[in-house]
Amino acid sequence: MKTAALLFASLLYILSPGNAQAQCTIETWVSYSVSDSVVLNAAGTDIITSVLLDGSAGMQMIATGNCPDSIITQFNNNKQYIQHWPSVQNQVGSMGGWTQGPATCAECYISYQTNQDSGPLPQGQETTFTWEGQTYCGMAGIVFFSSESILAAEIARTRSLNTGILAGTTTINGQPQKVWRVLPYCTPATSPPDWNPTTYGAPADLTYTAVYYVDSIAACVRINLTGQPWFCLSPPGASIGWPQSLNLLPVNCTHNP
Amino acid sequence: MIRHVTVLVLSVFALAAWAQTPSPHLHPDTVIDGAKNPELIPDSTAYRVWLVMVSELPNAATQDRDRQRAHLASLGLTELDNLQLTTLLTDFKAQYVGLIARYNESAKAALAHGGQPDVNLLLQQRDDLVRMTRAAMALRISSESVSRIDARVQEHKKHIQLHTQVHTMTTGGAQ
Repeated sequence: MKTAALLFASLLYILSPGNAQAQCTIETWVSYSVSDSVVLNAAGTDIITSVLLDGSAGMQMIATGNCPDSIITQFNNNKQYIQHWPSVQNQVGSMGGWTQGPATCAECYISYQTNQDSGPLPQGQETTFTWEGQTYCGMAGIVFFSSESILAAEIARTRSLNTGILAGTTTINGQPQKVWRVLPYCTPATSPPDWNPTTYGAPADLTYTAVYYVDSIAACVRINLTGQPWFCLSPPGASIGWPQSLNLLPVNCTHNP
Repeated sequence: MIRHVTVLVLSVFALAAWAQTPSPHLHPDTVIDGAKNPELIPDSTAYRVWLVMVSELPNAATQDRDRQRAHLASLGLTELDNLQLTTLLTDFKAQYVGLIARYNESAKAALAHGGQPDVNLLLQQRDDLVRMTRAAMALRISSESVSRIDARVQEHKKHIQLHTQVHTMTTGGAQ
């Protein structure tokens, strides 16, 4: 420990601006995957967001001028004391924010993920989902950042009309299903709906008139700009109800253009 | 001992303070944004990221387990396939976390001796693990469910950014 401290202190002295007659460059490179995901909770009331920072990093000193080998050697010998911290921003509405992961060595592999629950969100109400990844080096400062992504997120509700056209059969949760083609059944003012399922899987023993209408919800995200398309994630065949009537009027669906 | 540790800690802080005085520079990020070009995200990367994001360790907290269930429910798999996938994901996570932990320990040991860790070996093992997990899925899960998982992974490419970034900091400078 004493030797290491002395070596590191001597490195400081040699590299200090007043003494340095050499030009050396500390280079840090990273290869990271940064990803987000959005899903509805089981109750269909909350959005759960995840952000992952995953990948490798390296650090070395290179000679960009007359950087002496002795300095490079000393840097490499003391690299073990340099630490990196991963951080991710994962904020949905007012919940969450920046979180810093555990310290790692400068050349360690990082896999750091946070999950955030939005809390209950009224259907159709837009909120923002902001995500980003960053790595901070104790010596070199911020050595990596991904640009901040700001998305709009919502729980969208849509009523669909079964067309009676069979698209196929499948099995969900062990139950045989018929997959019907469906069309949105929304008021003109709320068309097209943000969540626009094209098929619906219903138990195979039901006729299509028994599932003539399907009310379903999905977690949807888009770039936070008016006019951008929504991308929705919903269980195939998931619904929150089958209104048992053949004479229902179109309803207000979630429609945030 | 305490004095030596103090000297070391102060040295690190001093170097940090000094090192940030010179000109740090983040070079332009080489990024593949899956939201714009999902076709440029390799399948192996997309599977790895998706597997990491939806998998949990056996001792996961209830809320993490619930989050996983929500992700898997959105796939609409049979109960048996859902169970098989959950088991495969747990195995994957345990091996992935173990692989990284072992590499990081070896990296620290290498750095402590002035050496260089072999990250290429880790990356090979990591990608092999993803490949083996996909092969296990194909063996233990119905082809229809595998198709659904693949469709979800392909969709997930829109949610992935691949960054290669170099940060340089020039020190000293008096020539």
